[in-house]
Amino acid sequence: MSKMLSIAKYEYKMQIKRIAGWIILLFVLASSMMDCLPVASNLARIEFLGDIHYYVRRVFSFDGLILLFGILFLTAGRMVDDRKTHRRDLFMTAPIGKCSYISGKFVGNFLYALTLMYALLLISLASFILLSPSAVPIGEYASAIFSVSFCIILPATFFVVASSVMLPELVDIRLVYLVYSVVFLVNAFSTDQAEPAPFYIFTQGDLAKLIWQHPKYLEIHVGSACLNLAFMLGIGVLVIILVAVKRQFWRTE
Amino acid sequence: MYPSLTVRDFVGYMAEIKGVKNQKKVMQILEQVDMAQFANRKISQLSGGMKRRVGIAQALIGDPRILIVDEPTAGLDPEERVRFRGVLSRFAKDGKCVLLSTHIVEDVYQLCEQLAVLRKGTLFFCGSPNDLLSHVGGKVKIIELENETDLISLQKKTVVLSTTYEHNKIQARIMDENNRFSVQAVPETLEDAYVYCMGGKSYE
Repeated sequence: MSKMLSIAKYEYKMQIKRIAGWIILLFVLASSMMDCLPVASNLARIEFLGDIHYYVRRVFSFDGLILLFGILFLTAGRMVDDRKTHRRDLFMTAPIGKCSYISGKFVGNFLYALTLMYALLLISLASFILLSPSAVPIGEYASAIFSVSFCIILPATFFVVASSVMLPELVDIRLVYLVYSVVFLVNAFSTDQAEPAPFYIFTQGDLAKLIWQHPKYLEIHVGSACLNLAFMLGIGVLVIILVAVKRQFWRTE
Repeated sequence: MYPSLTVRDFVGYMAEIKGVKNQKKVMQILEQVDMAQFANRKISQLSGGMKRRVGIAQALIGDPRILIVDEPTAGLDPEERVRFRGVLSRFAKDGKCVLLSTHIVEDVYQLCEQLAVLRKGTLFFCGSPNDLLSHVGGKVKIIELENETDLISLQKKTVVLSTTYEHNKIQARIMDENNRFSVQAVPETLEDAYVYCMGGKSYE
């Protein structure tokens, strides 16, 4: 356990110092502020921006998606690079178990990704508090944080980090980039629909409707939301298990 | 090594996963390999020699009894090579064993009490450097030749260890096993003995 925590700690330390992550966050913050802040020009365009639940959902439906896409590239190959550069040999000499190594790598990168996602959330909320035209009760903020955490931030971050850290260990990293770029693009061009859509993954579809529901489309498809959640958690858990049971993990030859 | 980590962090990381809780040990080890003054420098900013000393530091952190190093001084400048030899000697002085694999004969001569020569995957010689030297003692000579034709004919008669070209003449360092050349023998080196080993002559 302590070895796993050590790997997670240093993995987090290395990632948090990467300037690229902060640049992506800055870009995403600028984009979300221009699009979502409840100022007069934005409110004239989108009437619901004064609603905190709609606001957090909108921030994470598009800008959060861009941030997750950046996180995919920042965390991809964190494990496979260790093998390619023979750093994994150092871990073999420790010695350290496969599960400690894998879980340490995952936990470190997951916490790093959560740091960026929650930084986006907290800065967005702070901006909302400053610019909101009407006072919003604290309970509403707590409720918005809770719902966006459980409907988008935690499952989507788990899905992205587990896939990006683990999948390159199983398939060529270029294929991972390609497949996930398509997945992100599909998601980015998806819009709210009344019909059930179980694979409107990440930030669209019925799981996101649990945060805020469009007044026109009152029905929530629970089955669709559950499938959406199961897809993200299931893919994440599956890739971790596949890597954990992979033979010839330490030595490729 | 992780280029974004500092020397202290990297060795600290390795210490933690080896179960060494005492972080003071990290600085002690860095002092041992002459890297304490660069503890806060990033790995990416280190020279090749410094990186190898960090590599040795992470290997020493678990207090091993045996240290196996493969070509540790290849590609290093002379100053760094001397420093690296010092690091290995310091480790060995406490009665610990260093297994050094190298093609740099000077390193073997300076460092090793025992050496083994492998030829085509089999153990060809095992003993002390002086044992190896004694096999070529008094048999290494330098012959001056006029041209390449002379060199080719010399190679047919004896083992040529090395050649140098000076003032349009060729100086051949040879192994005169049967004392066929009436030239004064020169002091033999471990490199002569090593080349002779690789030349296919058995000492049996």
